Amino acid sequence: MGRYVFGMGDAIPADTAVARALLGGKGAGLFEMRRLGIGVPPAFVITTEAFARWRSSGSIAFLDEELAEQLGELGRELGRTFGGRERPLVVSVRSGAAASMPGMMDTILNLGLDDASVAGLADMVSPDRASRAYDRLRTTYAEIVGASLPPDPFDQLRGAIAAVFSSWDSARARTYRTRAAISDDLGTAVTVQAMVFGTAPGFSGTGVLFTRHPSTGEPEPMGDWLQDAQGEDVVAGGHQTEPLSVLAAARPDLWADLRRVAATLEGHVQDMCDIEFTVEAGVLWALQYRRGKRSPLAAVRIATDLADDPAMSFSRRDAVARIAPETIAALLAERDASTVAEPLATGLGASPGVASGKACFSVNAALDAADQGVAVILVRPETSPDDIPGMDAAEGILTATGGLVSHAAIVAREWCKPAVVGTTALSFDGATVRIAGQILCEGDELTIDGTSGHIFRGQVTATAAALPRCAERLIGWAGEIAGRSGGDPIALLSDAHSRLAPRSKENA
Amino acid sequence: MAVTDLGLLRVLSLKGLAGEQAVHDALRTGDSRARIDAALAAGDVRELPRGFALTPQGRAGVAEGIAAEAGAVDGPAIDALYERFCTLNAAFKALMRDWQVRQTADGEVPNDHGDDAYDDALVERLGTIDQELTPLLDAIVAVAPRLAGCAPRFADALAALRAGDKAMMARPMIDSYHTVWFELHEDLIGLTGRTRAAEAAAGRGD
Repeated sequence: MGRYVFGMGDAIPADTAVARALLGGKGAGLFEMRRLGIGVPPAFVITTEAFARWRSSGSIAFLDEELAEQLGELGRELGRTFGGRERPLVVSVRSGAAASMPGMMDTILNLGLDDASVAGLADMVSPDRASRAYDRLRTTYAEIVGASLPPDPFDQLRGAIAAVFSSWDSARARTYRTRAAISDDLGTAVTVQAMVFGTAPGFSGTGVLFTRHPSTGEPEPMGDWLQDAQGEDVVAGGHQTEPLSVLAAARPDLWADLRRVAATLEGHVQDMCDIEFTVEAGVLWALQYRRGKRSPLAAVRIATDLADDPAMSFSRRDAVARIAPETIAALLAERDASTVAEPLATGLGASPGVASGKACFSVNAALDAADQGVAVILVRPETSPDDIPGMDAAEGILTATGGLVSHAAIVAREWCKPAVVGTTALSFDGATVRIAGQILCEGDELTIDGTSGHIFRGQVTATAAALPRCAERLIGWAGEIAGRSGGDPIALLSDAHSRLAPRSKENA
Repeated sequence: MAVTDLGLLRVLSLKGLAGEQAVHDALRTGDSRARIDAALAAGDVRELPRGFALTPQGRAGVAEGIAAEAGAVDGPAIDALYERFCTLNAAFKALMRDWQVRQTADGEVPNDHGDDAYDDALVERLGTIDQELTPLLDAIVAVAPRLAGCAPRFADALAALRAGDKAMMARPMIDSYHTVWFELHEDLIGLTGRTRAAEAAAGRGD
C-alpha cells in the first residue's frame, strides 16, 4: 500500500522537482527548512498522489488512518491534542500545487476548534482571542468549504482537504491552467500545519525579517515586529509595527536565534530572503521564507556583496548572471537628473525614469518624428484616448494638467515610460506653448525626470558617477566575461549573459 | 454617398490609430473589415503603416455625428449619469494606482505583479466596481444606444483578469478594462457637451 501523507520525520524524494510535484511548493519548502535545522511548526503534507486517488474514487476515507497518525505526531511534538479540551492542537490547512495559481483554495486557519477545545485555547491565549479565532474559523469554513463547520474536528479536517482538492477543478483554476498550459492532471497537495500563537502569554509576537535591506541592499537585516499579535494582524494593518531593534533589545537570545535562521537560509539559497516568524511564549518559529523582493540598486549591491563573501559559494560570474540587463537599465533610469542641471520647471512625477527627446505637440508630429528614428517627448495640455498611439511612439510624456492617477499617468506607468503630469508652468495658448514663461517650439530638445517631476531644456545625460560603485564593479566583471570594456553598460551585460548562457545550461 | 458609419469612425477617433483587430474588438460585429473598406472607399478613413486613421473628412464627420448625438440625448439625464460615473471613476482610479504602485515600508515601488495574492485582491475590488458600473452602464445605454458595445468589452476584460491575464487590467492599445473605461469616459464627456480640457481644468478630466 502506498502512503499518501508525509510527516516531518519522513524521507522525501531527494530530487527537488519530484518533491515539489508530490508535496507542492509550500510543502516541500517546509521539509527543506526542517532539514536545515530551522524551527518550523510541525506539519504534514497530503500528496498529489492522494489527490489523484480522490479524483478517481470520489472519497478521502482512505486517508483517515494516516491522518490520525500524523495528527498524533504533531500533537506529541507540541504537547497538544487535536480536539482536546486542554491545550488543543489547532492547525492551518493550505493548498499547494507545484506552482501557485489563481482560483485555488487559499488557507483555512484555526481548524480543530470546537465548543470544548475553544475553552482550552482560551487558556493558551485569552478567552476573547479564542472566541474570535473560533468565529473566524466558522466564517471562513462556511465561505470556503461551502458548508457549516462540523462539530467534530476530524470531520472539519476531512471537509477542508476535500475543499482543497475540489478547488483544483474550479472554473477559474481550470481557465488559468488552460492559458498557462499547465496539465489538468498534476493536482494539488494539501499542507496541514500546527498553528503557533504570537498572542500566547509570556513573550510572544510576530514579524518579518529581510536578511538585507530591500532598498539599499546594505548587509544588515531589517524588518517589522509586532508584539503580542498574530500574523494576520500584521497583514490586516491597523497595528503599528515596530522595527526589529525593539525585539533585539527586549530579547537578545531570540534575536540571536533569528539571525542564525537568517544566515542559514541565506547560505542555503545564496540570496537575500524575507522570513516570516512568530514567537510563542519565548520560542521562535519560522513560518515561511521567500527570496526577498528588492530595488534594482539592492539587487546589484546584494549580488556583488555575495560574490565578495568567502562564506558563500557565489562567484563573480554568478553575480553577473543574476543581474538582468533591465535591472541596470532601471538603475540608470533612477538616476536623479537634477544633480547635473537646473530644472526649467517641475510637475508631478507620474511614472519614473528619465527621458530626452524633441518636443512634439501632436500625435501626428510624434509619429512622424518617431518613424524617422527621432526620440520624442510628447507634450500635451491633457491626454485623450486618441493620444495613446503618440504616447506609444514617444520616449516620455509631459502634460499640463492631470494628477498621479490621470489616464496619461496610468498608460505611462503601464508602459514603464517616464511621465511628468500636472505641470502648471506649462501653458497652451493657441499654437503658442510656454513653459515657465519661455516659448517652447516643436522640435526643441527636452528632458523629463518622471521621479522628481523636473523638466530640463536640452539633453541631460547620465554621468558615469551616477552609476553606484557596486554597479560599476558588476559591469567591470561583465566586461571580463565579454572580453571588452567601456561603452553602453546594458549592452555589455547582455553580451556577458550571452557568453554565460551555454555554461549555465551545462550546469542545469 | 454612403451614410457615415459613426460607430466605426468613433472607434478610430477614440483610438487615434488602430489595427483591424483593435477595431474588431471594439465594434464587436463580424463585418468590421467590410465597414473599414466602405469607410476607406468613402474617404473617411485612410490606411497608414501603423493602422487605420481618420481623414480630415472622417474627423469632421465624427465631430458632426457626436454633436448631433449630444444634441439629441436627454441632457439632464446624461448629466446626472455622468455625475454618477465621476464618483465611480474616482474609485477606479484609486484601484489603478494600487495596481501599478505598491506602498511599502520604504515608500512606493512599481508593482512587479509577482505577488498573485496582492493582484487577486485588486481584481476582486474591480469586480465590486464592475457590479456598480453594470446598472449605470445600462442606464447610459438607454440614453445613448451607441455605447451598448462597452458592456461585453468590460465583461471580457474582467473574465480574462479573473483567469489570470494581468495585461487585461490596464495595458494600453489592447481591450483592457482601463482602455474601455478611458474610451467610455471620453464618450461621456462628448455626450454631455463638455470638453476634456475643461474637465481636466475642473480636476475631473483625469
